[in-house]
Amino acid sequence: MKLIRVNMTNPTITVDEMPEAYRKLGGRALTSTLINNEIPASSHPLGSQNKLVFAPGLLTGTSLINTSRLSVGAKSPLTGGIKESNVGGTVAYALARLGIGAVVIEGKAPADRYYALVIKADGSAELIDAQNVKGMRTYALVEKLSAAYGEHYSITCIGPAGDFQLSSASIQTTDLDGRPCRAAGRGGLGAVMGAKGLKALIVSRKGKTPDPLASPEAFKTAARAYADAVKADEFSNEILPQLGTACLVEAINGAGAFPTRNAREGQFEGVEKISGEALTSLIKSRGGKTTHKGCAQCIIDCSNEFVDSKGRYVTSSLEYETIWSMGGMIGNDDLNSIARLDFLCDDIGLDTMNTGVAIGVAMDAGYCSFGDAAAAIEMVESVAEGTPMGRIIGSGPDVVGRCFGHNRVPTVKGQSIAAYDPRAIQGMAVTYSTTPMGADHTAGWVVDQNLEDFGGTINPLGTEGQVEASRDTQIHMAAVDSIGLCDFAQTGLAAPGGMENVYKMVSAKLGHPFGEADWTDLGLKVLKAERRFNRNAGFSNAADRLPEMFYKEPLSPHNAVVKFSDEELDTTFDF
Amino acid sequence: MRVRIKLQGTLPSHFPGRYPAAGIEADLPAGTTAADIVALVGIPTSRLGFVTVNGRIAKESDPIPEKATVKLFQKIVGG
Repeated sequence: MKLIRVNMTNPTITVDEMPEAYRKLGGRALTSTLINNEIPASSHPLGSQNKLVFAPGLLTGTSLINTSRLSVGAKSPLTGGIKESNVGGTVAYALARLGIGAVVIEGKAPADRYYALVIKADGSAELIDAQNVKGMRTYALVEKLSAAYGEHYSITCIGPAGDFQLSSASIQTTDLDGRPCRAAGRGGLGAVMGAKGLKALIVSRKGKTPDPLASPEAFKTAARAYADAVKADEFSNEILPQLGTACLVEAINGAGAFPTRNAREGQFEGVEKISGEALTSLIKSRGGKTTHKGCAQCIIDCSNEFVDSKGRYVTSSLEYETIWSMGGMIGNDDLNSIARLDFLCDDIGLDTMNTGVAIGVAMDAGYCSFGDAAAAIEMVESVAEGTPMGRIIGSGPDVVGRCFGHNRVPTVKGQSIAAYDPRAIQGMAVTYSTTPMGADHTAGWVVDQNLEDFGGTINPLGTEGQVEASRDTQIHMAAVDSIGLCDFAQTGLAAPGGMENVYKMVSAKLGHPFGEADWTDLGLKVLKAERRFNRNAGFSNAADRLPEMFYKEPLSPHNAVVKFSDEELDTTFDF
Repeated sequence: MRVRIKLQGTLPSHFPGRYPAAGIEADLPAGTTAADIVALVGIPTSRLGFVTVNGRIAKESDPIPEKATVKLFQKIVGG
């Protein structure tokens, strides 16, 4: 397993064997451990001391399905703390097939230099001049680079938002169709990439030297059983391929947890116009794709391809979180404009969630009316233009709140909430508050536990069991993000023997026994490293809090507020 | 009493021709509960996520009011 270090200050590249300290790590475990070990916690996120780490999961590059996940890590310019942003597409598989465990971007290029990093099929790496594409949008950039390098390269890049080093800037990466529509959106890591002076990471997809497995036959047996379980599950084999993640729109709205008009309400009256069912019907009527493979090694095909009324490509993939952030959150019930906003965010290189919430805060502050999709499009376009308003929107909801003198800003540690109102699903209040990532839903998604079994094994409006559910899920997800497994392939974990199959595969990969205690230990180590970094960066328990609006403003239809005391939240990490 | 029943997600495809996207209107006796409607539709509880009645999550024993809209959801996984 190789570790590539790229020093942008005096352009040099070293390719070494993975050091012992990182050798058995992958994905989030590797990024967070390296960040905690090597980056001074007090460093400026856009300065030369920060490092940007790209790491495929531990099992990425193997025969296991749905493991094409890349962890991107750095000190976040959005939160000021540690960040792991997770993305699919093709790049993680490409790196892992080259036997590359991580690419670490260090230092900072001089102001008059801009580069792209090319990693070829033989594993060699080279920095090339990219000054002429600085400021270019991602679709045009990928078209240009694909023409130069061919379609067998995966391209990971930033758009104008990253070039401007704005705190909502994403890192976009290409899907199986070669479109830069997959986003490591959270935490503003596109700004870190821009600050380093790196426009793109161009990786050959022809690698044939993956890290060897210690026990290939044992791995193959467990991987087959895992894939069979994912195929047998109704959610991953039927619902996701037909409706995509948009299946959640009606469900979460039905639970009264769909933050609407900057989280003033929990249900959106226009929900049936933007539901997964409506999206599927519209795409089908126009000849688009409702079942679409976005990521390498995927057998679920939850992606889609949204087309306009003339059948022309608009965006891929239109996901639940974006339908919320550019839909209900800004009072917009028009799927066409939501799709357009999704495309613009991918093209300009912006996190759709942080950007939609920033627009929602601006609307709430009176900049324009809720539901004004044209104004929303104008605001996103202005980010690429670098206007003062564009820089405010591109810097996220906190900056919008400050600039407009508005106190209804639904963020934690500077990062916007996702599409689950913490007042109607109280467990998400715990996750948003306490995860080291800022208000991140994937860090500890406890929605299913709140809604399943005919109304929930946990009362979504109560506090009982929520801290424990969030804690256990956060530990589990830290491990999932480390092996590189897609969230939606977790249906294989829920099947009988599912977790044991994963333990067997990790064991077959590493060559030593691995069991339940090791899984928990892995998750705990990741969280401890992340918490340690944040403590050293100046975070105390006081940072693990939701904004006042969630405690003071009852949310319809349940008229609920967040009920946790500070002391209860502080028991989440009892290790 | 008159009740609107709507199946969400891919559930309608499991009952060809019986539950169109817009749902159906059904005449049900007073006192019908959420669990009664699940049984009436015939979805095994192992495949049921949750039920909403007029936009609020229902418990099994919740009575269904006149002219209610009842939506049946599948299990969700995610993040």
